[in-house]
Amino acid sequence: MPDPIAAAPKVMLGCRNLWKVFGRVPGYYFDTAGYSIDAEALANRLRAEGHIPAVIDASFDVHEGEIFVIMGLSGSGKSTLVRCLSRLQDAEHGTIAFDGLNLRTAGARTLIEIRRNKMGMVFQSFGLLPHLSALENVAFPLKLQGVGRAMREARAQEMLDLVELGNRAGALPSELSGGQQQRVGIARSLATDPDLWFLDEPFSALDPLIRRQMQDEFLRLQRQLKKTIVFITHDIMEACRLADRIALMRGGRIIQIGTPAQILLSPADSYVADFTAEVALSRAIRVADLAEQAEGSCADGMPVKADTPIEALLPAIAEGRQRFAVTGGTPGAAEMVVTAQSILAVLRRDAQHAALP
Amino acid sequence: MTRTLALGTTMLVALSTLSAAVAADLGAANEPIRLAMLEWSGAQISSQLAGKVLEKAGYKVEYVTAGNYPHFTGLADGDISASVEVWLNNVGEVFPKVLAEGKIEDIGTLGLTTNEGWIYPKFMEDLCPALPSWEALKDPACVGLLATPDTLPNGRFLDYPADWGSRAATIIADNSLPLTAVPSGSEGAMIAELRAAASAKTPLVMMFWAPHFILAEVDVGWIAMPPCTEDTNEHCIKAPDVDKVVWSGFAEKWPAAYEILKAFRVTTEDQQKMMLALDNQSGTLESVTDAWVAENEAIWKPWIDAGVN
Amino acid sequence: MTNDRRNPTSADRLWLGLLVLSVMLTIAGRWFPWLSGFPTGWTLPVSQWANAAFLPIFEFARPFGRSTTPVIEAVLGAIRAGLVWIPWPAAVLAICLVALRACGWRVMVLAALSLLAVVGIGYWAQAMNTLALVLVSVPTSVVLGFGVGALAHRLPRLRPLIEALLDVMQTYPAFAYLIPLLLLFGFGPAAGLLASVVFAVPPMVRNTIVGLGAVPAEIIESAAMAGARPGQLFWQARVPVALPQLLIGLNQTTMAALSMVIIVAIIGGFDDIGWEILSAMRKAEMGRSLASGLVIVLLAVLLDRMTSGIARQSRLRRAPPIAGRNLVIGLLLAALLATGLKLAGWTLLPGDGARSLFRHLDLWLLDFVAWSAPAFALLRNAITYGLMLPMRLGFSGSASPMVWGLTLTPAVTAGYVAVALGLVVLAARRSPRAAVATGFAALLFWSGLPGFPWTATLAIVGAAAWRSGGPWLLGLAASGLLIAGVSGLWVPMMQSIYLCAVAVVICFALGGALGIAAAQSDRLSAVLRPINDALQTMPQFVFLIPALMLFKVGEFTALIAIVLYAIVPPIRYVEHGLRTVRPDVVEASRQMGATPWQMLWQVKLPLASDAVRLALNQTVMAAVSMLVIAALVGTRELGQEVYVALSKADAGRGLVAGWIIACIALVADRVLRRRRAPPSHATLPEKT
Repeated sequence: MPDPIAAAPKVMLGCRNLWKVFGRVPGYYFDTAGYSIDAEALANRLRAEGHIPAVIDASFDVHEGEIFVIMGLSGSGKSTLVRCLSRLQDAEHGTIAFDGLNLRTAGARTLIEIRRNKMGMVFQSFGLLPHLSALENVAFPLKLQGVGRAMREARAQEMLDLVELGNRAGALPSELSGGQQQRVGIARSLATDPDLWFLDEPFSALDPLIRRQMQDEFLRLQRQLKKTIVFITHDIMEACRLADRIALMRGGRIIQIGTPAQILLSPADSYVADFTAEVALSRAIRVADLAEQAEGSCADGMPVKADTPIEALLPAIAEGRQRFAVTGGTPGAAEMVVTAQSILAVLRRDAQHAALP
Repeated sequence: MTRTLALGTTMLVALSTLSAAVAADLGAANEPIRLAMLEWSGAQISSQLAGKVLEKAGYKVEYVTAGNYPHFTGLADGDISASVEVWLNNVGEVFPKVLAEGKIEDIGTLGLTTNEGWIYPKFMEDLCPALPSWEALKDPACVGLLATPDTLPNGRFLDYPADWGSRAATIIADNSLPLTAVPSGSEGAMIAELRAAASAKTPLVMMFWAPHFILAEVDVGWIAMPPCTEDTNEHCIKAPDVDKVVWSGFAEKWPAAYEILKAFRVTTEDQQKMMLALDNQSGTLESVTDAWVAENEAIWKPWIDAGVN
Repeated sequence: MTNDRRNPTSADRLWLGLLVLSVMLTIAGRWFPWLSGFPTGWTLPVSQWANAAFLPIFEFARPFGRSTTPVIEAVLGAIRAGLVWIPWPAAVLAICLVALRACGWRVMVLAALSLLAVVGIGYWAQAMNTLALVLVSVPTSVVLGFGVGALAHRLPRLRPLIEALLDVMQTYPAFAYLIPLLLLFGFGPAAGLLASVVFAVPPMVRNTIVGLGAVPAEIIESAAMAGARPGQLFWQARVPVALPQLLIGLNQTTMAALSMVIIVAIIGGFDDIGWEILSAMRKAEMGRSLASGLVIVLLAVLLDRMTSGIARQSRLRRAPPIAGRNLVIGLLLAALLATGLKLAGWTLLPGDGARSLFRHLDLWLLDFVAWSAPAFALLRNAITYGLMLPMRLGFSGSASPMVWGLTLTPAVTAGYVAVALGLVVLAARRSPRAAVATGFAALLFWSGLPGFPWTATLAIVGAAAWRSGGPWLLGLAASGLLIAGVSGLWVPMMQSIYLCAVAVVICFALGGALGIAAAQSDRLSAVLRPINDALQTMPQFVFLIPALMLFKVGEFTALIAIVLYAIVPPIRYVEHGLRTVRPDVVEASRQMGATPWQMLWQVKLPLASDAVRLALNQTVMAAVSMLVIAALVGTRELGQEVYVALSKADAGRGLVAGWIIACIALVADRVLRRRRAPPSHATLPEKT
């Protein structure tokens, strides 16, 4: 299946063989210049010797402008991984290529400069300063850089307007709802206009209904801002809604990287299959995921947008339509269609999952 | 001037007793003389009187409130310039040490007529007719009145606080009296007990001293003490001396004040009158001492005249 | 012997072993007296060693100390001069405005009323002098405490050391370190001020450590991701977020400093409240000491409400009830008023009217003493014979026709042993623990606390210390006990423990009952609250005089004074514990048909056991802290030793006696705080 984004991707953040180990002497195990590391053997040895390998040999690229979701259950190492990427924790081994340097070994001064200008981060429990108002919280990163009061507050107001919270600028975090607090958190992380945006389970602390609203809000923002995003979640539904690509983690290892459809339709192993079983494929799989070259045959159904869930085509299929033209794909690409046959194949899998005990 | 002073210090000690003709400089009159204000009202009166007289002579005076024991350290360091009512029977262990080291100087008696010994509230004479003789304390009936659960079968004797030493216990042992000495912890505790005993008519025998304001309030008798087994401070209670003490640098810094303090005297009668006024709230420390100074120029004027010429 | 449902645990076996050992040592002590009383020959000149070790250090540090003294005194003098210069109406106005700005209307009214009361009582000047001491002591303590707390936060390895030091600073009797401070800083208020700083720093350090450590990791991470440099991270994220906790520290530090300023007077203060209290104590004037104590209470309540009000405002961030500009205008008005009054030469201070009222109070007290003497003598005798003599001398020591109506014949001894064994067997039917406890009680009742074999004491305290604090606590306990032994202070130490133990028993019986009652009745609770506040903030000296008048010089009066001070924690904690029991459990029990009595004993008290344990801990600490004060009414324990050392200016002797008292407090605190939990040094991963 073609991947429209992977066509000519510019790598924003490149991560190679990254290790993060907790324990007494984690550094001791990586003093192996010149040797190649056998990941599985080393992880076993670390565990046997009282260490906890939280991230094991992680390698992936995050492309410019994409939403890269790292997903896993709690304890899978996803939060540790993003903390290593943002250098809130120091990884033991590997490289993190960002902006032409190895972020893993960047000095304190460089790191502060990068964080001030090129990185933003949103936290699960918001991390707002309780003594500052919403406006002051958003202006805080600018204040740290020494931006003048009028200028930073104007920018902060702009950011609050962006997250539709402009009218609550004077409120303290304790006076805001969870969803509103996280909007402030998002506005703050965007105040310095970063290139790379980390979101560590930003919506997990929110009620399901609010979470849904915030996801929509987030997608709206991303359409507008086109940031490069690393998004952490334990919620497969959320991952499938938001992700351009998903990295699935288990026990510190990345076990599969792919688009939501790839993960859902061809899981790398039974763990991933079990994990994704809950997802209603009819809603998660989009038309674009099943699109194929038109190859001359003409569509008999109505044209559909690429990001429509296949569910939406069921009435038409029930009426006997077989082929639908796909619109809104990559401009200039060949004409695409989606067939009732491929859609029904997916639905059959859904039905099998549902029938399982 | 410094030289004359340095020379003068030793000479003054020798000469000052001779006559009132000895004249001295005021010295550092713009630097305040710091007088100790100790806890008990007698000492506070003496201090105020001395201070007022020094002020009449043209000195600046500051009063430093201080505890009796710790204040000797202050005297030795010069933080306190003088202390005019030092009871030599109750000086702790710093005083003899710094006196021997020459850091402080004893400049003679304050002139109080003192007393020390065993007292009892007057009503006890009805209960133990043998009082005030010490023999009364051998009488089982009398001792039985003094007995408490702590001291059974002995009678209870209220001694000075433990940190003042326990001479009473020694004398009780010397005479094999059926008494147990109980340390009182503090002066306040002794006064409180004496008051309570007089008020509730509970028998009490205790160690005490005069002049003391409480003796104007509570009617007490002094026990005629048993003969001393040894003529030492431990075994024999005598009326204590009350002296004036100054910091060793005093004479050099304020020569005239030194002479004035040397001559300074307070009589027991005067002090007791003022203590009583303080005790029944008819006057403040300030007002009673001011009154004394106003009324007794004939007494203090010669001190100043002798010191400053 | 053991009930099959309740098998003895390893702890029970240990205590059983210790009981058997103690019994054997008690018996053996009849033939080998060195097992029983600490051998008199085993003495070492510990206090001389302490002098030899510390005096050169003090001598060396003396120039530094002496050079800071003028600075401290200059600052103090300036503040004092300012406070005394301002006429009281202007000062009251200014303080009220600040209270209004910082804490709101209610605190302002409180400030006005309490300050007017101070004026009315006639202690305005003294109160201002005391305030000057607090205004020097508190900022010093806060800055020092914050610095040390931040250091401990930064270097977690130092934390156990710093916390041990704080414990010692809070339990070491101030009277014991007055002499070293005098040596270092010379005679004057500076030494006393620093003594109060020593006592007031620990709460600030503790709150700083807690506050800085409790800042959520995500806030720190978010600030780090915003590009904060380490300094910015600390000052702009960590400290502001920890501010409410730091202000709680400020509040506690202020209260601690205020409770210690009395000490300043002992080594040379000036015309302040502490001096007034000491003089009143010396002259046994209850009215005056009560009035000056009341002034301290008023100041304490005001400072407490103001500092905690500021702490609360910092959390809520409400708009202050008075705008900044109006505040400035008000303060200017106050300044104008001050100048005006000064120029007019009006002090407006009331005369000594209130003081003659105090005098009447004394006369009433004397009348009351005369009227009630027989009743109080009865009470005193009942407690002395029933509780104190048995615990001090034991049955074996006090068995005389006068006390028990019998003498100690072999038959009586045999009878005692038989009764004791019978009770133990009876208790064993309940649980092994009850049997062991009964055994210990019987043995203690036989020998009395001070007569308990020192070898057995060492073993028991050692085992308890080891179990609750590991080798560190064992070392501390052993050092305290052995130093007491070889300095010839074993008996005074046991006297101290005995006095505290009796006081704690009485406090728990009375205070626990009051706490239970207060938990049932809101009205009683409302009555008790201000009494508790007053008992805890009243300078401890004030309790001594009425107790003396009623009960005479001696241990019993000391006991009453200790009980008056230490009874507050059981009332407070028991009430709080019972009131905060989970309502669902109470409802469930009521639904099961529990009677109110069953509810109390079988549901609420067991559920409140944490609060009860805390109450026990706090009661013991309060009792130990009163030891030195209680010595002023004539006791023969360690507190007295501290005074003797003070009068002899013997630094070493005071430090040794103080160390033993601090050891008692520290070991008791640790043993009572976590009797069950094994020592754990859980280290939390420190996040950036």
